[in-house]
Amino acid sequence: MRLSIAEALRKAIHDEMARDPNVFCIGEDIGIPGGFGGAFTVTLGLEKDFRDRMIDTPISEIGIFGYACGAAVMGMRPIADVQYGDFLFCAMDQVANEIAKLRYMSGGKLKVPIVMRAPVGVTGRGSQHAQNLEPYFISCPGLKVVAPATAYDAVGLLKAAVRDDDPVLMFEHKLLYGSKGPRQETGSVDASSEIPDEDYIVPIGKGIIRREGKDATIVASLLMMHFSLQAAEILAKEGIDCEVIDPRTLWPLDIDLILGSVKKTGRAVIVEESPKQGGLGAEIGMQIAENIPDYLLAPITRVAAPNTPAPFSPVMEKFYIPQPERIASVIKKLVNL
Amino acid sequence: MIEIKMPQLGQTTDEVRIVRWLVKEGQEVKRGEPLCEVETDKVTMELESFESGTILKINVESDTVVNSGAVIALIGKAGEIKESKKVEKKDEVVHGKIEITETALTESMQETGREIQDKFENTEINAAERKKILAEIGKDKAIGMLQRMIEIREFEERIRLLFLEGKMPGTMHQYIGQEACAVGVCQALEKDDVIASTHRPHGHAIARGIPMDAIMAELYGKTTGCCRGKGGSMHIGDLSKGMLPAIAIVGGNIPIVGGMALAFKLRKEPRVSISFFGDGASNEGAFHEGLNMAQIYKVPAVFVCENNLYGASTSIKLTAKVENIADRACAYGMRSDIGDGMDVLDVYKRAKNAVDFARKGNGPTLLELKTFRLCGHSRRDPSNYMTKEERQYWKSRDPIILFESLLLDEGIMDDKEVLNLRKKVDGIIDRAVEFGQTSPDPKPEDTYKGLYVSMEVPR
Repeated sequence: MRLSIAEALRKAIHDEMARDPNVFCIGEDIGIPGGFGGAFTVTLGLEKDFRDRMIDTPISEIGIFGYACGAAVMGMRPIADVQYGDFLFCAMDQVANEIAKLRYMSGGKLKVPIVMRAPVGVTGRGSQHAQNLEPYFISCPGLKVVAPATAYDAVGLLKAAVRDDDPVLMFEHKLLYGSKGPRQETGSVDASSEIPDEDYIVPIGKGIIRREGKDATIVASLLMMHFSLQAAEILAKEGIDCEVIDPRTLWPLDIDLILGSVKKTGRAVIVEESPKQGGLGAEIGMQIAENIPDYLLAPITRVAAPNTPAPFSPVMEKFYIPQPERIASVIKKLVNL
Repeated sequence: MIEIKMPQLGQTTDEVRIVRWLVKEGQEVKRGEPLCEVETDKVTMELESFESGTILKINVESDTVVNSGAVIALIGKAGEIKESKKVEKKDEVVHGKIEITETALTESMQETGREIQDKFENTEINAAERKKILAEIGKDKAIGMLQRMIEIREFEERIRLLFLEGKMPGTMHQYIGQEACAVGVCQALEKDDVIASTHRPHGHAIARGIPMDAIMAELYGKTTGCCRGKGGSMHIGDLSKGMLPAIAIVGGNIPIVGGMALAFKLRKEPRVSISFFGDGASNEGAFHEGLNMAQIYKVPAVFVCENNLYGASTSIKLTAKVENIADRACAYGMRSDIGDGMDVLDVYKRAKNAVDFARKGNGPTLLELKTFRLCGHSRRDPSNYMTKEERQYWKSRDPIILFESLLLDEGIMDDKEVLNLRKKVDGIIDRAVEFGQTSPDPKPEDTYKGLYVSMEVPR
């Protein structure tokens, strides 16, 4: 069955709620009959089967994550939903101080098995509903951070996250959901997959090679992974053969997969939709530099957004997001050094 | 006769300034009572007496700089030294200075004291009611409650000295004066109920029955601590004993406690969760979101606000324009109640009502307890922002003295039994200190342990 990410996540959440009575959803507008099913239709209709376990909240992000934390500590498995990742900042104390640290502060006695779902992506909404927050959270020990770029991975990572005893933050991209009807997004990219009938998970901490190549390694997740594949096609026409790695989990990183690829190609390019300063590229690039400096044929390179908030004007927004052409031109220069 | 020497207090210098004396020659002092206010390169604090006795002689005037080790006063039996010295004049001058800076606050604080006095004249439970509650609790449990209160007080007094002597690491926020709140509420709980506390958690942990050894070892950062040395003073707790590791972000535990209660409700378990927090927390967003949601879902939780009138040094009068924190419950359509936080029986009765109400599925309560911190906000705070009158008023309502006298008056205990109880508590604390001091330190690389359940920390 071919499903979009929104449909695939809906199925995965349904499966998990049916499997385990401790799983419940908590968030804004998630289970209102006649409502949206969350901001991007992921939980649409789940209230029909699980009325008691779809906890619709006031607009209270501290409350959502605090309640999820308390319930998780007592053995429930909440899936907490924030409409836009940007709103995580409202709940930052609960996420960064409580959820991430409680187990550690307890001396390793407690478990806080929460899944937190947060849509990201620069998508025509200006600065406060359209940013990529990954860098803030990969520097938050205690959390695991996943970012599925395909519907297959969305199902597998969601199920793995629900079954994991640690808090997992899942970033989902607004342009990859494939949300339909009034929630459809302009500029969407098809991320749908064939979803097998049988139950499966995608292990947290395992990346995947999306395209094999020998000249350069591109590391990218979410929308940037799709743009990197497009860049690789552009370059292929010019005889440059790129390998594209989708880490799928941003923390803990599958660093062995990345290092293995860079050893082969000698060139590493990290593509990210968030500002360049202190981002994913800084972390991944540094790990490459620390571990395999002798294998590098060219400087480790980042293709990232400018060090500014996301602008609204479509002209500036297009400039802000690394486009496939920009990624391709950077790599071309790097290979021709 | 014992010489009181200035301890090593500064971090970079030996010099300490005696700002003012808080005692006079001829005055009786007990161990732990403040002698004088001192200022080092880093902080201003009260220097406490390490001995009980009469102040025989004060060697150094107020506003004088001395070196560590200097003999600043003599203490002993009254009459050991014949001559008596006049009170320092500078003392008054310093008082004057402080009054100027505090004038604006003084009025509002005295007002606070009066209002609370009036309130309790109206709502105070009467003698007959007290007897009824005592009979309901029973003799053994009543004595147990007194013991817990004394345990908390003596624990705090002991660690304060250990800290001042430089034998204990870190920082601490103490619970002296508020003992009736923790003990009264915890007495109303069942084994499976869960409490959550704040940056001031020692009292709640002892009241909930976390072994004192494990609490003390945690303060020492030892592997035998209730959080294996990862938590420290501000994160004391052990969920297996009914207490979440304390959340030291003000207001932070409120939504978490709501979530614990939500779990009980979803699983139809007859359990109740309790959030302890202070007046300051009621100004946090987490309070608003947490209470609003608790009432929406009618979760079995009790939100216990220990209103000790100050958020650190700032009077609640300056940060909230409602008469009672409990008044805020009406914004959420929530049941509320106000209790006398210095009267353990009043606390118990009101907490029991709230807990029963929650357990029956009727929803949460905001229970405000009017109380007072008879110590600084944190380890070295001399509480200069409080007036003498205010402190005296609350000291006259010391919850332990109140309850102890009641048990004596009611014939539940006699003087000898009280003395024995205090000795017993001393023994428990002695053993806890010994346990804490002699327990093994963690290994440095234990830092990596206990973060994730299902993976090692990537290095």
